[in-house]
Amino acid sequence: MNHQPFENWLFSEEPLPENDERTLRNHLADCEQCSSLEDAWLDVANLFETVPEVDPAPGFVNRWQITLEADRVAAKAARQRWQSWILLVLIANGAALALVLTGVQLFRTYGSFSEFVLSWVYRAATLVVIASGIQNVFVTLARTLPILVPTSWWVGIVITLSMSTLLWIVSMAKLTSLPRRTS
Amino acid sequence: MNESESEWLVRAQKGDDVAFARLVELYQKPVYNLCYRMLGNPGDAEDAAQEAFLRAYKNLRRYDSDRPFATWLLSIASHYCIDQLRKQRFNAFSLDDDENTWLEPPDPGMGPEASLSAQEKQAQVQTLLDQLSPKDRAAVVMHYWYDYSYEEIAQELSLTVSAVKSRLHRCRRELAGQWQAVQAKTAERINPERMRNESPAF
Repeated sequence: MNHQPFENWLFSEEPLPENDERTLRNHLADCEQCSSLEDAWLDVANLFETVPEVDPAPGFVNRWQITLEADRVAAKAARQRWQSWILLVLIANGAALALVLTGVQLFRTYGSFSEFVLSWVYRAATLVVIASGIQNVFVTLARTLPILVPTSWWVGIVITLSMSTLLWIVSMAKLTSLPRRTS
Repeated sequence: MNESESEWLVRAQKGDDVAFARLVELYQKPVYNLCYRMLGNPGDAEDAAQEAFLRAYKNLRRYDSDRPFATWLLSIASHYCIDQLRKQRFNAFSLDDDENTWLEPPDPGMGPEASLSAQEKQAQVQTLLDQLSPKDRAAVVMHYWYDYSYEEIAQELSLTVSAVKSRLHRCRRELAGQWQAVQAKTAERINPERMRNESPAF
């Protein structure tokens, strides 16, 4: 026997026409399979109706406020991370642009790469020569000054430098121990 | 929606956290219940309800005041629960596993017998609902616990009205079948000897 039409009627929420309703009732009186299915559904519907509502644990609103605060902190941290990345990308782009522009400018000035390299080698050599000259001046001074300046002058210079250093240390100690102004 | 509720809603939309906290207080139970029916355990239900309120708070400016606030809120909660259930399906453990059946702690206001009966009913309901797919479960919960019409369910779940009707029809059939299976298993556990000797004719 085909029970499908009766099952369709059984689980339909639409009210059945009187004839169909009678046919269904007659079938249910004879068919244990369908009447058992109807009983099962009635039990389930009754269970759904009578099952008590479940309360959340006490303090739900407080926990929600904590969740909201945690979400705000997380969102702020994410925003800051995002801003840092944007800043980093901007700086990197700026540096790359500056390098490209400098390169273009240098090539325009020197015409060719070899000329550019030669020019920088020449500049480096000039710097070395200047540094060597300055070093010679200092060496000469170091050799002649002790002979030219009398000993009493040296004592005076050392005492003045020591006193200045002491004064600086004391001033710094006092400044750092002052309470910080907050307003 | 009463007057004070709509006032809280307006204030919350303007960024008043205290007003929104009042709405949370007012709707915590229906939202939590929906999540509990959908997810089946108190821990997940609590997390889902908190998340639903958080999402509602963040999207409050988009809320259309022509629609009931409760419907909008429950819709957020049900969508979140459907997503969670779909994710859980990929997890290592199965929801069908009896070991994972959670029970609510007993209500201290109830007597021991009533409390036990309530717990048993909760477990039975969850066993039945666990057999349904996330969308079917949402449709059943909305229809039987929140009195949503077919049209409202269709709107919330992005289905046609006839699809909702046919889903609910199929769900009723599945639930009745599942109930028969559960009852048969229980009867067998209570009286295994009789079940073994019982003639198939009876």
